[in-house]
Amino acid sequence: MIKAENLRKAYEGNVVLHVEDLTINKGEIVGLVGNNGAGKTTFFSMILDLIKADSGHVLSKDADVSKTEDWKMYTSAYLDDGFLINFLTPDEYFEFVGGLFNLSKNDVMDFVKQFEPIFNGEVIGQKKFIRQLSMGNRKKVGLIGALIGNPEIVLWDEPFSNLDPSTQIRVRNVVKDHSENRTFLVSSHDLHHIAEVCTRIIILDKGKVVRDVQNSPAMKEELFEFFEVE
Amino acid sequence: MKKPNFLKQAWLSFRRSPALTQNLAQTIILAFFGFYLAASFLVSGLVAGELIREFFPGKDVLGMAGAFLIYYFPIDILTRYFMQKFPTMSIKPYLLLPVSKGSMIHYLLRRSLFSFYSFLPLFLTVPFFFVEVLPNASGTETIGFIALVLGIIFSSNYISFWISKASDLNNWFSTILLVVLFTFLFLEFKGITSFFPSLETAGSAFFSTPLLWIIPFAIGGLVYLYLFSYFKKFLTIEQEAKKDSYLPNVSLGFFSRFGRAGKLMDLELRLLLRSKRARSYLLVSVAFLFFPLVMAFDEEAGGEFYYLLFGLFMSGMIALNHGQLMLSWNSLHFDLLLSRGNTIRDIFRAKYYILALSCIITWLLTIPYLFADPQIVAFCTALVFINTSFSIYAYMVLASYNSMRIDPNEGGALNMSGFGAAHYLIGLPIVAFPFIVYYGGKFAFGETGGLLSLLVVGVLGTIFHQQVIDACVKLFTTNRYKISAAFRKE
Repeated sequence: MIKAENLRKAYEGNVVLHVEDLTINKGEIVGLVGNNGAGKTTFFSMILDLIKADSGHVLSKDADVSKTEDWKMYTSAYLDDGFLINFLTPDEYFEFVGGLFNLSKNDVMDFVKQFEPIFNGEVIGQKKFIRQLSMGNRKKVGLIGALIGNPEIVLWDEPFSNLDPSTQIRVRNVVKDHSENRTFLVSSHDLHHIAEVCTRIIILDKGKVVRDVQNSPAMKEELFEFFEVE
Repeated sequence: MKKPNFLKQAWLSFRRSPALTQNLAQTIILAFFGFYLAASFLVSGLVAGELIREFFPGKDVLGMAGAFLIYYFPIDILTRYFMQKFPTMSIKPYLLLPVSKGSMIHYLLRRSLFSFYSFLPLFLTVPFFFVEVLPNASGTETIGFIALVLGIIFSSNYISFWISKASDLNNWFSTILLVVLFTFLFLEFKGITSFFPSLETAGSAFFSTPLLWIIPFAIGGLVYLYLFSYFKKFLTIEQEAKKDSYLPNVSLGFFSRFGRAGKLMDLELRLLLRSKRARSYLLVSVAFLFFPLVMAFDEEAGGEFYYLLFGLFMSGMIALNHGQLMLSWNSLHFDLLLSRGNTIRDIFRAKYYILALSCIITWLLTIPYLFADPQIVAFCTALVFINTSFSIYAYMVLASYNSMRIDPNEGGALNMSGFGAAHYLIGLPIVAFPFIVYYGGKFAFGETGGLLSLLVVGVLGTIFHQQVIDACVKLFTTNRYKISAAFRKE
């Protein structure tokens, strides 16, 4: 589904990402973990062709993402507020995104309403612009917005931060429940959530892939061990 | 309780603002503009006495000066309302510091007084004061003159501060107030009402009656106290989050014929109506449509120069105002547009079609001028297609080469963020091009040849819009990383 080959990015001589060869298969739920500066967001941005690779490339369905635009029709992401349109209400935002995939307003709202436990009555139907929402609610809008239009690949950067504990669990369940025919890439600092939901875990450290394993109970221990401090 | 040095903080935020550190050309141009304005005021101030004697023979010069000053008062309020950026020093970080709220608000209110617009009238009145008032007027009148000038600056600053605050909270109140002010000025300029002559007596009376001197200061002071108590009551973290008026969903079903680009056009339309800066551009553009009502064109030689200029701007005002920031309007959500559900071509198509449509709509609005001056309509019609082609193309090419981030909800008409040196330079060919075509056509084919050449060139240019869009997409695609990185930079 996604293949990164010899992907390299450096800022002023500092290599922030160097992925030699990484293939992500269809249907995987990939957890991307690593301390600050490990290159998680950079990697996501390069999958989305938002920043230029110094060398190498990302292939999506065998096509270079920097040379084609086909991937834009089946890939979605929520990395930060740059993926929200702050002068729309949440309903209008969902409608706009759905509209890009020819979904009617009713279709979109029906789809979104199944996530009402996450929104907790503070998002859907509110006459408030996204810029007036709290950080947590903005995140909810972005995460759910990224599921509209039945994308085959979903990239979520830190979906659990800024959310209350119950919502974190609900969001985690969304990943599980909506992973059919879909590839999820989720980055997080929350090892518990990652270990709980992902089928494959990749640890990035200083821009390099240092572990890449299928999830298993043994892996969970290794994961925690890796981030242990003396 | 130690007061933090607010002035120093303000200075640092000015010194380190990206607009100033990154954009030398703009700073120089703005400084030059300010210098020009100040210099021309200075010269006018020096000769104002002579002018009054020449145009109003037999009138009392000082009384007339007073009349002009009182007359200037509502104009000053309006100018400040549209141009001045009232300091809403980002207060959040200071709210938690042990600083008394009162001192913070006093600082906020006082700082607004020290703006360029407060000093501007001084450039006119100070030379006038030395040339005319000091040698000729009595002691009381001299002090009276100073009182009037300072009083007007003082009160108009706080009145327009008040209006701009009120318009943040309640649109109706300020709209009515502005309409009343505008109507008054319009009726007066058109000579339908004439308060002006009676203002001369009011001016003379003001200068010689010390008791009246208190009035402007009292008005300004009362507004100051009102603003102070208002901020004191509402300046909390919760209230600082700006209130937005909710606007119902406007969506033109018509756009759906443009496919995915239509969805983006819908988005642009909502941006136009909902963000402060885009809205103020829109208001200025619509107001410009009424310009010929206040100004009569000279039918003699040189008249066509003005017809050309206004024809160009009247049908293209929205497209030129809004189009100059092209992609910057979407800078806050550009990553979404770049990565999801639409192609770069869709973005450019949406931009082109909505701007071209705005030209057509404003052109339709100029048709009623047929009853006043058919020439206006003739020039607008010849120029509308120049706008839907070359004018918009110029901004499209510029945007696909280089763009800057803006927050569309910040600031009014004179917010210059997002402008680079290229924006000032590109204006020149946009204006010069139709002139060259017109005079070239007139020279080659005679009287009506000029208008016809404009029409033909414009229509031809518009026909090829798909090709231009494709070229811009190509150019943008090569520069996309640079542009989207600039949009992410706060």
